[in-house]
Amino acid sequence: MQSTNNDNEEKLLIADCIRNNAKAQRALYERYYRKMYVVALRYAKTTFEAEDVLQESFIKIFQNIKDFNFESSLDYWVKRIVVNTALKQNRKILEKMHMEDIAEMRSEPVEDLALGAYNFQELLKMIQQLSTGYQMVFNLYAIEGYKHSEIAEMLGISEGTSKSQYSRAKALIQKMLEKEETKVNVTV
Amino acid sequence: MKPEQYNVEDLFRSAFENASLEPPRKEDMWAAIQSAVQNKPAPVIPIFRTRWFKVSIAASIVLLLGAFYYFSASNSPQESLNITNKIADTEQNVDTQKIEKQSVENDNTSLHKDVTVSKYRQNNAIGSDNNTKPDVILSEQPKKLAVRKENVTTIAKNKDEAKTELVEKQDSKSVVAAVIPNKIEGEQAFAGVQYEIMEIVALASPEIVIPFATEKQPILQLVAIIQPSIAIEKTKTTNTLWVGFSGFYNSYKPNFQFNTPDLPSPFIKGKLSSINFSDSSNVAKDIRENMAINSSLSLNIDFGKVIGKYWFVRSGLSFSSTSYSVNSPVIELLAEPNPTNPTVLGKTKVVANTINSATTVINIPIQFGYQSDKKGLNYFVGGGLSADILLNNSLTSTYSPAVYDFGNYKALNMSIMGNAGLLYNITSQFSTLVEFNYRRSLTSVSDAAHYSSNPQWIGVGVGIRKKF
Repeated sequence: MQSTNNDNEEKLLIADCIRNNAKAQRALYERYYRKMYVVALRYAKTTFEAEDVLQESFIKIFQNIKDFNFESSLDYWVKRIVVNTALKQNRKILEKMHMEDIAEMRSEPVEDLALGAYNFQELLKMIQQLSTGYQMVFNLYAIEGYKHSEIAEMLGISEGTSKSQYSRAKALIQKMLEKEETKVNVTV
Repeated sequence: MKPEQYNVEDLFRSAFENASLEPPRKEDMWAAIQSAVQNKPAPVIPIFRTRWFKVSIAASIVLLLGAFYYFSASNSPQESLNITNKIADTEQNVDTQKIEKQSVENDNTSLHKDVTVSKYRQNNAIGSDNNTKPDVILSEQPKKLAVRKENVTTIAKNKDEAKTELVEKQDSKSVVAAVIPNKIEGEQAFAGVQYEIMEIVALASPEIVIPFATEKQPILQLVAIIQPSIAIEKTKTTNTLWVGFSGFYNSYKPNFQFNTPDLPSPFIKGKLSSINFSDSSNVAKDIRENMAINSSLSLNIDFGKVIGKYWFVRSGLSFSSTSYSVNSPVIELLAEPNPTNPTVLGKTKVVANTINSATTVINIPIQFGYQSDKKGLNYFVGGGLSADILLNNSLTSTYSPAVYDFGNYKALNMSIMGNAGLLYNITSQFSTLVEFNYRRSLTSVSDAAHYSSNPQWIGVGVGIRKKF
């Protein structure tokens, strides 16, 4: 029952946004801006870049909300726009990835680690330390959950390149995590 | 604290699942977003539905017909005319009027002949008996005029020797106006145009008799106003008007620019009834990378007029057909996204798909240019604007469930154009030509918000011209 009410409220909110109602747009902004800011931060290097992505994303959301067809959740749709905007912002850097020779890359098997609890801000710093290409692929695969074939299509790279980029990114992240674990153990 | 066993993916997914942060410039961002969203352009009304469009089309047709008539009239072989005719009308509501014109002296009576006037008389059965006795009698009752003695114009070969006196008798009033000699030439030309118009009307409808009262004929009034500024050559007849036919092969580019993110693609619209699909086929990217453009052909009918010796003005009609296709696979979603993590796509299937676009337009150009004037081979260069009127635009896809939104192709677009070519005179009347031209739309041909398209055409063509 509660779910139905929420659905109706969401539909009304979307309908008002389609009518370019500023109050409804503000309500939608309030509902998503904090979460989407974190999503944007994951694909950015600085807060300025993340804010640019977030601002551009909301403009696109309001301009294209008439195309939202309720086949997926609104959360999913909004997040995809933020992710795609971030990818577009990094397009020039990503295009260089096309030039990399897949044959020169090899996947390095990685083992699961014994990890302590981290808050997301610590993990965010690690992601932002990755090079842009690694950062994009790591976000899309490890957090967004896309398959390598889908990432390849989204970024215009081969599936093999996506796999090898992710493998390297993951290895770098694990090294950072190990470093953090060592610090914790020393402190303890 | 003993560390737990995690894999990296689980660690990051769980950490970021409900993560949120307050951005430092929240209100600044909101102000910028509102500024961009609320200032969206007003909905585009199809231009062919606007009054402006209909008026423009009507005005264009009138202008083209008028220009064609003017050029034809000014190029037809003419004898020199010295028509001394002055019509005056001092009151609007006059029942009858009679205008008598007298030629005082004329050195050469053999030239007292006006072919145009004679034709007019013949077609209207207005008595052709008395060319040597020129007088003009006008009645406001046109039918009566047809059976009465008609107008006669005195023609003098040498205008300098002509002395004309116009006497108008109007009921009890008489108005005498002396024609100033240095205005004779302008009046002759005016009368020439006037008679030609009357001749056309007479040929079309012999029963219609046009009174010579200029003031009662709006079109003649217009001619009278315009006429003094128009220099009409009467002594030399040259082939300055042409009609041409040509065919062009064009290199066509749609020139897309994208304004919105590639994904979710705003190019795919609508909800499919039975098939869920992902728009991750990335249509914008496919347009950039997987577009195949077909050959573009156009057929032209043009007419032009040489002004002076080297300059020309040119217009006409051109039918152009363009098409392209985009290889853009569609990803069908075979399962719903994971409800606990909607960012994870379910099972998918890639379906091959090609988007096909075809457009036919009619172009109405107006160009100015320069051309050489030799007997054999000549060159020409020109430039101008073209009104591109849409005849047909279609957008289809081989994977029919996917419906694409490329916006509405505007009914009317304006293009800038330039051309250059070689013209070879086969005879004094016929020429062949080879021509290169470039045309580019000044604004986007689509009213879609998510992209713009400013097509360009680079064409090479051959054709033939007939001069008059």
